[in-house]
Amino acid sequence: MKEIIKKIVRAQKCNASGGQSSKNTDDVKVSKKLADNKTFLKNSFKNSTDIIYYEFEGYSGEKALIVYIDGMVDKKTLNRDVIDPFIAGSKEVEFEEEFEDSEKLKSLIHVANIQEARMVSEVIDAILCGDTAMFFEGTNTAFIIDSKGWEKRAVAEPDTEAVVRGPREGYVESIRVNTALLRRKIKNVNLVFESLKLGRQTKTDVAIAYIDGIVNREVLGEVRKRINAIDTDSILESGYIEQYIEDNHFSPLATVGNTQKPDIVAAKILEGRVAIFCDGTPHVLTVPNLFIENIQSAEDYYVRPYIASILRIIRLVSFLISVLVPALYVALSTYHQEMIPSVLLVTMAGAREGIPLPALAEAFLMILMFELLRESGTRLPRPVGSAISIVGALVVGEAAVNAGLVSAPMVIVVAVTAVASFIVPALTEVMTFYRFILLFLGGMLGLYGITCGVFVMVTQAASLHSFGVPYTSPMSPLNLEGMKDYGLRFPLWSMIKRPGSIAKENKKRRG
Amino acid sequence: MNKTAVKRVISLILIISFAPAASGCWNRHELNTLGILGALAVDMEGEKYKLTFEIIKPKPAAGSKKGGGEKDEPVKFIQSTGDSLLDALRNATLSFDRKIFMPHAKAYIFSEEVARKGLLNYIDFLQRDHETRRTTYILIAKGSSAAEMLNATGGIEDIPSNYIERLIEGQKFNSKSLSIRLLDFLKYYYERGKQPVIGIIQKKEKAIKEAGGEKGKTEYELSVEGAAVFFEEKLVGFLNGMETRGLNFIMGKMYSGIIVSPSPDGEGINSVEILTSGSKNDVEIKGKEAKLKVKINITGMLEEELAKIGTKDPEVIEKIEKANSQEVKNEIEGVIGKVQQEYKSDIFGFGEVVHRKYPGEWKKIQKDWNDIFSRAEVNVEVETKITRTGLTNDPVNKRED
Amino acid sequence: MEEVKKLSSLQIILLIVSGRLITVYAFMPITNTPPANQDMWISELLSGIYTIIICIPILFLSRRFPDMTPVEYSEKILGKLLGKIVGLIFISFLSFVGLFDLLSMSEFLGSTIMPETPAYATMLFMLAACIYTIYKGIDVIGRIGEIFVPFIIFTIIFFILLSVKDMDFKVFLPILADSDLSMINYAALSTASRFYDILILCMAVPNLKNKGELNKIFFISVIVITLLFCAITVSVYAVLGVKQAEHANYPFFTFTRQINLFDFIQRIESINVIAWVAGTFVKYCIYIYFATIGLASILKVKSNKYFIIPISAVLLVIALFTKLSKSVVINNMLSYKFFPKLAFVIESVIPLILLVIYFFRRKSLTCAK
Repeated sequence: MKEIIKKIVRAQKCNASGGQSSKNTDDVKVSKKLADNKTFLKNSFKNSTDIIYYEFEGYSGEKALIVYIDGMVDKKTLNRDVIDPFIAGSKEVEFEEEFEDSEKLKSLIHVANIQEARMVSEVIDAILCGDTAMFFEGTNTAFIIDSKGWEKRAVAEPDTEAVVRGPREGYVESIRVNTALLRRKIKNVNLVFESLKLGRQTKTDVAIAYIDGIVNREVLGEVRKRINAIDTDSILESGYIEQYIEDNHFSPLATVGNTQKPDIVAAKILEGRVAIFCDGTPHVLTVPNLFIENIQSAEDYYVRPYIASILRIIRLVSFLISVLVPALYVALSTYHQEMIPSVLLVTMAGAREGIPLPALAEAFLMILMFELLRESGTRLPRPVGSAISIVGALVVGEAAVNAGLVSAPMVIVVAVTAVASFIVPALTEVMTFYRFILLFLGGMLGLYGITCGVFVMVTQAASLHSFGVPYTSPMSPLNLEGMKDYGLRFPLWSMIKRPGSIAKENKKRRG
Repeated sequence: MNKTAVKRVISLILIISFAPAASGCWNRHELNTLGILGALAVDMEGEKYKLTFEIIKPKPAAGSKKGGGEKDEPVKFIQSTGDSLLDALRNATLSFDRKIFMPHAKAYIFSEEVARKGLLNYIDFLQRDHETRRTTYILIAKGSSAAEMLNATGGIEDIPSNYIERLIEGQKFNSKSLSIRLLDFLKYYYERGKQPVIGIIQKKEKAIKEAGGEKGKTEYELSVEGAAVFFEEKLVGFLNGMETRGLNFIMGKMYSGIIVSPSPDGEGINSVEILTSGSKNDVEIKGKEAKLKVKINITGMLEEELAKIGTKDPEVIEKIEKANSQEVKNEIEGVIGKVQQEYKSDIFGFGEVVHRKYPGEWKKIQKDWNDIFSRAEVNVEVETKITRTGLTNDPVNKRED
Repeated sequence: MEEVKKLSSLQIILLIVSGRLITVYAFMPITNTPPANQDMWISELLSGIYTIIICIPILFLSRRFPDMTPVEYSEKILGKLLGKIVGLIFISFLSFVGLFDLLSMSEFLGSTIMPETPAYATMLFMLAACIYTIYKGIDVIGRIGEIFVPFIIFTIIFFILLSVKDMDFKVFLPILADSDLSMINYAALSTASRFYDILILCMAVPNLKNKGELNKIFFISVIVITLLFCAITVSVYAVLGVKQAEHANYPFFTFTRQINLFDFIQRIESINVIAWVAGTFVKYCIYIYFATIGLASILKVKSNKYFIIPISAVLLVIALFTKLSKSVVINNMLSYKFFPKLAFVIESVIPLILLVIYFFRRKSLTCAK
């Protein structure tokens, strides 16, 4: 526990630049001799066998060396656009012993992006990113050729954010593809990407995206400040970034949102938010994240207002159900039996005859069982999946009731809780956490305990700020324009302004 | 950083200090420790209160095994005695394995004897306790002890208290009974100008025995016809079914009912079903004398016509209306007369009318109102309007011969 | 000084309304104020006017000093020592209200739904939740108010609507026959004096976003409270009758017990309890927050956070270990015999004195500025 706190503190305190190369190569320049370069690179890469050093000669014996990482480059580009034109073009070009001007050499390579580098450290960074480095005998300029090409997942519908109506594109693990997907949604010069590298060892590419002129400047400044303050070994997933930049590490509610779909990111950026892309993961972060965004889904805006409003209300209600129902069941059946209608009470009392555990323990066990089932269901290999569901239903449901371990109403309560908890996937962890706390409070003090618990939870939510924006807006502080998108989704033509809590400039959406 | 650490440690200590609270859970009653009370019957045994409880047995879950062929009683009856109502209630736990749980009680039944002594001795607990509710019906058991009322099931419900509750709720179909809750009783009791009335419950022998019942065993059913008249808090007498209906007319609580009146022209009777009924009560005070005026407006539907008159004719309908009005007028005059002479208790609420109309006078005559009431002149006007005659126009036995 | 957090007008209105409504929700002392008869709704309506009159001095002073709480400007007007004493009086009144909330929490819960739970358990939980909220500051309390108070008002309207069929409005006739105007005025004055939430409004003035709207906020709160009060009183009398309401310890609670609709919606008084508990938490938070703010300004300390736990601990000890923990004592204190008189002094007489002294010293004060 202490170590975790120390790490977080260190992450917040240290100011560090992005990734650094190892110290030795900082000041070394590219040498004019190929052999020197090759030896130096081989030592830097510690003779790793997936780095290919290929020397070849031009028409009249001009030596060239390309260095690349096997698997990260598109070999077709290398063959067709680098080696081939060089060998063909070296016929016409006069080569000197020592070159001062590298323009001629550049013209031999037919690639869309060539950069020159004089420091070996730049060369190494480029090679590690998937570019190819080309050295010529007799010049101390190395060329960095953009030839990135590796296996990546195809753009497909994300599993966890399926929609009925709406685009089915989802982000992939390559940051360039992701930013391109966003560009296709917003064809606007004001869409800006700011790139940086995070993580000392991993040097992960991270990009901040926003629309200049709409974005909330304070949020943007805060995002830049916090991301630059991250100093850690590795950024493997955007979740790492999220946990370093979030406002309150101990709050169960997330102040940083994530999504896998380009249209959602586009919509959020258009409201004045900032998106953070991270190479290696399809999950893109969006800040600030308010509570209501957990309940919203992109599909709400593509379907008509009535169905969208009904679905929103169902989601809100199911969040409340999933958190409150077990606690309410325990509280009502042990403290406030007068609230239960008479006929139901008689049946419930009959169902609880002979059950060895008190209601609180029974509820706790059943919910624990449900959590175990859910977790194992996520990790299962597919062939075994159906077996687990049968086992779960049979064992927990039928046999436990028949054996007299749990009562039938409790199984129904847990089933309802379970179904309701999947309707709002963004809040699953929150619901589990709150559910257990409220269950204990309800079991200790009935409805009074639940009220105390809910009060504290609402206080905690109300005191959260997500990058300076209050977490519970637009409900409090009340913002009537924002309320049009809260519980009910008002028709699109009536949402004239952007949500006032976030967008401070360029407020009008339409009209 | 240190401040936050100190804060977190303090809050941790505070949270841990709640652990003793968790071990308590003082108010916790598991469902299987409750005895759900269906109905309560109060009797007197000498100087002690004798209470009879009907405890509903929890229905076992569908999947659990039950020995076949055993007819399971859905209720259990417990009796206990004590020095006061609450004392007797708690004494029940000495011989019963569950604590009695009162919020779901549907009726409190007091025996006649207890009511004659004065109901207020019993009601304070029912008002004060947080478990008892004021929406429970109260009934007076006529003719036998209250405990005996609990044992009869003449209807479809197998739990007697449900049966009783449905009987009381049936008041809206046949207004020869009353549905009075504890709340209503208290309201009437506190009103200076009105005396309380309470519904009654009686045990009758069943005419038709149930198929499969044991031979020789008498089966009972309950009836809620009639009302109990109170003066202040003491029972003074009873009203029969027709008189109760008159009372309902005057109080404006007539929801539905059948008035049978003799046919105007032929021999036979006709029945009118009452759809709505509104009453206007008025009192005129002259010195120490009062004149009571009751005006009733009824709309009804002709449901049964047994004479040979033709009901297509509007004039005939008017005659039926008049006959109906006369019948109702007789009923009302009958009940007011009876209460005036025998019970001398203003259960109709005329005192309240005086209070509202002559507030100054009321302060003077308030104490003697019941005497003034019993001497008062009565003037009843009834108007009936028969709006519909059902699906046929002429009666069945009218043939053109 | 810490950065001043801002409350919007809607938030402060809701907080004041909740503070005043909570007492009525549980206790309804007006049913026992003479003349406790069917004309009390007239007293309620009149009390709106009296409230406005009573609160004029302190509102006037707060408009003159828009950046100071009453504790601070009493120090400025009366000089250091006397001002601090007056400030202490205000603070002790606020803490007294907080103490009363603690006591009424355990009494209400103990009498209605959880009789066997000992008082210290309910009070400890309440204090835990409220201390956490007060630590977060006034803007969080404002947001909590915005979330919970509409819910409370909704439950009131909900209960009233559900029992419309049980209402018998003839209870209110004859109007004005059984009571004379002097008694009605007395009851109205008594009810109006209970609006000690004006103190909260004035203590919150430095935290308001729109200080110019102070009068508007006040008027809106008074109107909302008077209307809701009237609605509650009328419903309770219509369903329960005058005498039952007088005898009941918690008339509105007893009223919600009677709701029985379609044989299905019945026995829902626990919702009443939940709404009341949430409202009491909010009320306690506000009152103790401003009490700590006042203490901080008297003792010239920067932050009010040091005082929260000590004040709550002191109140807890007083609540548990003195004779105050009996419901009879609480009811008597709350009735017309004691509380309105005390509140009248604090909210009207003292500010009046302050106002008079202010006028005399105005010249010297403006010169000193």
